[in-house]
Amino acid sequence: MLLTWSTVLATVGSCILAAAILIKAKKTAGNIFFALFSFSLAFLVAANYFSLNSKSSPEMTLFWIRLVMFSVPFVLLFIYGFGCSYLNPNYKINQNTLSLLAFVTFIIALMNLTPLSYKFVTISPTGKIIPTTGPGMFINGLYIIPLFAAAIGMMIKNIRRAEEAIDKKRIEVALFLFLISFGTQIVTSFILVALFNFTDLVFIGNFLSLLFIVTIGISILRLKLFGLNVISSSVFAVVITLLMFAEIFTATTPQYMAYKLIVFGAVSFTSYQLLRSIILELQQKKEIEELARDFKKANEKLKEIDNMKNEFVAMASHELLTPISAIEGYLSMMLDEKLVEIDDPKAIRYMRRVYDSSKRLAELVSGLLNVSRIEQGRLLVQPDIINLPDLVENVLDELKFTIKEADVRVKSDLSKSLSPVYADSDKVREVLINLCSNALKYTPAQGNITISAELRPTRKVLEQYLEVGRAMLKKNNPIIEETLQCTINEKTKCMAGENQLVIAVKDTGVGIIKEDLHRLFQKFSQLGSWSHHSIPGTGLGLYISQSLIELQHGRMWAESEGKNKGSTFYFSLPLATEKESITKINKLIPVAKDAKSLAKVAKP
Amino acid sequence: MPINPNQITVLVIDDDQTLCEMYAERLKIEGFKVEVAYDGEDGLEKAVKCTPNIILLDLMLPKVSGFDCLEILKSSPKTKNIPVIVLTALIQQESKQRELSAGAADYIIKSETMPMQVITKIKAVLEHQVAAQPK
Repeated sequence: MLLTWSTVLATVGSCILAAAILIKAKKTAGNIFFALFSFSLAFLVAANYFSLNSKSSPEMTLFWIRLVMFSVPFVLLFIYGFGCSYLNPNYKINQNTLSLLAFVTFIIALMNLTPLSYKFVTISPTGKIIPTTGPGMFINGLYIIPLFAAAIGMMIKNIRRAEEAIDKKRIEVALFLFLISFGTQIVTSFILVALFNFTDLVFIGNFLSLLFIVTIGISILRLKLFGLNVISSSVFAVVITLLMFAEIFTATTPQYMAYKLIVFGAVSFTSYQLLRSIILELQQKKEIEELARDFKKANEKLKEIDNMKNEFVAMASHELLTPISAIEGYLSMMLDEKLVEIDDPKAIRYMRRVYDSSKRLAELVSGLLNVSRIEQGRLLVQPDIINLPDLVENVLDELKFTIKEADVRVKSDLSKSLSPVYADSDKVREVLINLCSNALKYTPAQGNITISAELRPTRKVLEQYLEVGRAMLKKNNPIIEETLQCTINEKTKCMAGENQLVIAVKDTGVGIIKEDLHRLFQKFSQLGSWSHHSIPGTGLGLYISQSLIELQHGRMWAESEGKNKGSTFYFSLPLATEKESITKINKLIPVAKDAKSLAKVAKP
Repeated sequence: MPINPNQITVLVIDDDQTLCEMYAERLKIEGFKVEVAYDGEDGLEKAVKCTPNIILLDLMLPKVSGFDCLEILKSSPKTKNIPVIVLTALIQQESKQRELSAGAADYIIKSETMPMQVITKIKAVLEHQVAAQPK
């Protein structure tokens, strides 16, 4: 009975599966070969069953055995075709090879219907089937085994070749099923029978075919094998339910019928629930897949726009700076080198204003380019152990003409024995130039600017920075918020070590009112009026400086007692002793492949 | 030993005509002889034809890029010994290292360097070249 049901289910299931694939699935070579394989397997399983159940007539048994052998070459041909083509984008049908294989298959199949494969069959008194092979049986061996091995080899090759993990999984499932079901059948129904006349295990083939069909059904649902979805599982559930219904009428007693009714009810209910949950799961999966596709498309679009913006910024900056260079160059020749005689002081004054404006424009373009690089994470930061006192001295030397013009006393209180820091000297230099230039701009003549540095505990630095710097953090523990900000924003790098070196640039200038302190570091923000120099800033200097310090695991903030009470700009840097921990942190933060250094222009 | 500009020919290769003329004019005032080219292809031809003493080469050029021009100049026997000063609108650390290792004698950022400073640089490069020659 079990064999009968297995056979019926395997045969019907194979046919339904094949039909579903041909009707609903994409018409790829792999799918078509599998459908043909399913049909031929159904034929083989049915013939196998009848060969085992015709023991009363050796002639009928021989007939069915020959029919089994007739179907075997076709099954092998379709397995081979499937193995070559399934999920293989490079597969192209070679008409000559296919025609040759089809011809050989047909000849061997026809041969298997003759005594060349099996001469005759004897049934022993115990009911054992003993077939006698003909002289042509070895041709089957020469054809079946190499072709099956080649099919398995092609599937393994396609697994290695597959790029998507899901495709690898699909081929692996198919390979496993073929090995288990048909591989075992080759052994039990062919090798053992043909070589050793051992037919006791032939029935296993039908059970394995049922296993094959059930597993394929599950794989169709979970892996969308052959692109089918809920249709096959629905059909499968209906078939099982119908079979259980048919079983009711085979009951011989009322009790047995009642039992089968209960089983039928249970199977029907379970099938219904199963189908419902499968349909729901598939719907949800479909929605998720659609969302994922939309997200991927949107992401790709954003990347495209980002790339276009980067290219535009780079090109625009280059294109803008080239004519600016020409303007500055000619004006320099006229005003600095005095290569042209200009008598009219008004003309000189106007040209001087044009010269100053062109310098400001060059600074603005350069600043915008740097802002763009910082915001996109494309700024190259190359930290090293640096000696701050020397760096500060170089900066003050560079600004000596401006300092002289401003008539302001600038002093560096940095001790030569100051702890070295781990930072990018170019970036720190830019920050110092910016802070000192601002201090010079906003300090009246005879004023003072002092640059000093001291060690401070990291926690204290954070507290002072957060008090002023991040007004938007309104929660109770701003330090936790700061930490969170570091972990989610790769550009705001976390501070390292228990202590920081805090550098202060203090001036006796126009001061800043408390309400304006946090606005200082916003883009294009300029406060108050400057006391020196006719060249206003771009409003980007402090934003860039703060970003540069944050990129080096530091923090920047400002303090002031108020209007006309001077101001102090602070920035912290990690100590050189933190080099290793900073290197580790930096490795976790991806750097853009096209990361660049700062764009620079001449400072006034 | 100071350089005599009257004996020096400078080839300026830059696709921006205004800038080219500005450098050319300033160089002529200083006494240099000047040739100009507005693209890489023309620049390479003139480098071979006029055999200048020094070349100012813009990096962003049409037809043949500045990078490629530098490579070709340094690989050709006729031009490999002519010092090349590379011009660019923006400083890029990686480009600077690349150009200097490709054989450029020096690097000028156009937006940062006034014409007088360009002349100073040209003289410095030529003097260095003379000093480096075996006696």
